Amino acid sequence: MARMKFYCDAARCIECNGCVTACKNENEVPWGINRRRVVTIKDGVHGERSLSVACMHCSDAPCAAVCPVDCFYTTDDGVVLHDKDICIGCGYCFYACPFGAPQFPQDGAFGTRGKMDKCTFCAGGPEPDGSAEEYRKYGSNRLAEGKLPLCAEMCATKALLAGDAGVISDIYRKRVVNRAAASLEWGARLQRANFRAPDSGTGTETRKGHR
Amino acid sequence: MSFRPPPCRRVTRSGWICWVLLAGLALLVADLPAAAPSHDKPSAKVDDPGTDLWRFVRRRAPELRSLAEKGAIGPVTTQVKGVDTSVLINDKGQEWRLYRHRMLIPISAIVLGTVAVLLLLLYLAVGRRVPDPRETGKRLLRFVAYERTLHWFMAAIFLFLGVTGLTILYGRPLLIPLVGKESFSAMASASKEGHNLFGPLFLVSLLLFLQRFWRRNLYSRGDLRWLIRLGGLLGGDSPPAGFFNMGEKMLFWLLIAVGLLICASGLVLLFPNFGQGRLLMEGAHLIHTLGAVLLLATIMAHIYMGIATKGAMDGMKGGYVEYSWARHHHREWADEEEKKGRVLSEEEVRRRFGEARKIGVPEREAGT
Repeated sequence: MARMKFYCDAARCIECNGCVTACKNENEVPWGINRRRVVTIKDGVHGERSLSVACMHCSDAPCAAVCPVDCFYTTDDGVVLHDKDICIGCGYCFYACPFGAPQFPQDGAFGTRGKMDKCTFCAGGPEPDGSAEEYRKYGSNRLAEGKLPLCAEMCATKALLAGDAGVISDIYRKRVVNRAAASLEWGARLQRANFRAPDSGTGTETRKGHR
Repeated sequence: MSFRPPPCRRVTRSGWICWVLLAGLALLVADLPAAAPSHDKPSAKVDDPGTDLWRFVRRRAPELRSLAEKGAIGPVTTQVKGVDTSVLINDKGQEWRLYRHRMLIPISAIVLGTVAVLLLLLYLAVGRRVPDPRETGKRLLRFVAYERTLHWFMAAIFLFLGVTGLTILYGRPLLIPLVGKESFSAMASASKEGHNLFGPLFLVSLLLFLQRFWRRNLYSRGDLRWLIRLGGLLGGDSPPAGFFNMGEKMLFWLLIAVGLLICASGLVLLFPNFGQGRLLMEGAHLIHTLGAVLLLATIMAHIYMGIATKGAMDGMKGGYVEYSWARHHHREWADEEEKKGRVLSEEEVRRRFGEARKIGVPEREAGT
């Protein structure tokens, strides 16, 4: 069985938020909730990078460990899913998650948390694959149709990759090797190949051998 | 440089001066390469901006904001609105998980279990042999109806909050194997909603308690002596005490202090609509649970005292206590009441209850 993973290539992400929009549309995500978000670091200065982040479908998922009602389960594909019929909306998964993936709709007075909602790797929920009930609660089940998550499929620069961990890491490894090769060929700094230069710093050492 | 600091442990005065000069020199030297780069050695180290980036990923929003203000980095932004959305990695989440699973769940089980077992042993060894207070036919009014209502109001809420809180904490290992996930989900959901609804009422009862009882719980002369002798637990006669003894006073102030802490942290957790961050909520959960375990253990001891000290519960049931009990446990208060002529006969008390039943109102009480 596959082990499904997301990988976001920071050298490619252009912060277009296409993944966020694709996810929201494909899964009919409730108002006020985004299962995926793009975070930009060093916004507006040299070395700016963006990363698209959602549930990373951890092997040892902290959300599943802290859930007081044990509503999480991991599918054979390594996708972490949850059962909204069991979830009580306590918010513990939100505290524990490193990526801020679990989201809660406001349900009732004073912003009381409703049932948790998060990225499903476009794999639906515990209901029968492709059922209306599943779609209503969790959004589309593309995995059952043999398709990958729409966020990655729609990514214009192919920064966001989704699929089996082995395949994803092979693609990324090739990219890194190509970038390194390009930098040797063109004599650019290795750093420049992967990340833009910093604001300050002379960098004389690394310019040795520059054409 | 020929100067080398002496390797001896004791630093003389001249040694100190040398150290200070050396430090100053080091500061100067550190600034030099920027002005005059050396061509012999590799010049200033250039940080890989990539390494830098990944270092920033783990930093929290406030830290990043302060760095951004200094111009060290640009701001961290996202177009998605919500709580902590611009934080990429929440590294405190794992610490919170470890606290809950490695500390809270096992340690509170050990603490509450140990206290329960010790109290049971104490009851079997001492408590059940305590005789009923000697019947003198005389009664004293200890708690008026308002105070008793307040006490049981708070007791009911406290026990409810304790049970619902423990259900959420221990349900997964203890109840799910028994009743299954679906039934437990319903129980846990009811526990959560009930906990949220009655939590604020506990704060109300706590404040009313404080308003009603704070004066009687101030430290008074002789309390320390009572505490040193543990209220006569180690044998001998009960040391004299006023309306409340030192044990009750300590319970009261612990309840107020820890209770207010629990309520404050509970309110932080109760209203996620104000957009408080995860770090604050994780901290609030930590305080909330530690305080709750402490209070639960203390209240277990309080319940034990109510059961084991025969005659004590009467004050909270009907309001009247046996005179000999008051004389034994709260000598100063009993003497004062006697001086004021507030000692009632058993018939008088019975007549009051009877009258109350006839008229259909709570009993009339002497004084408040």
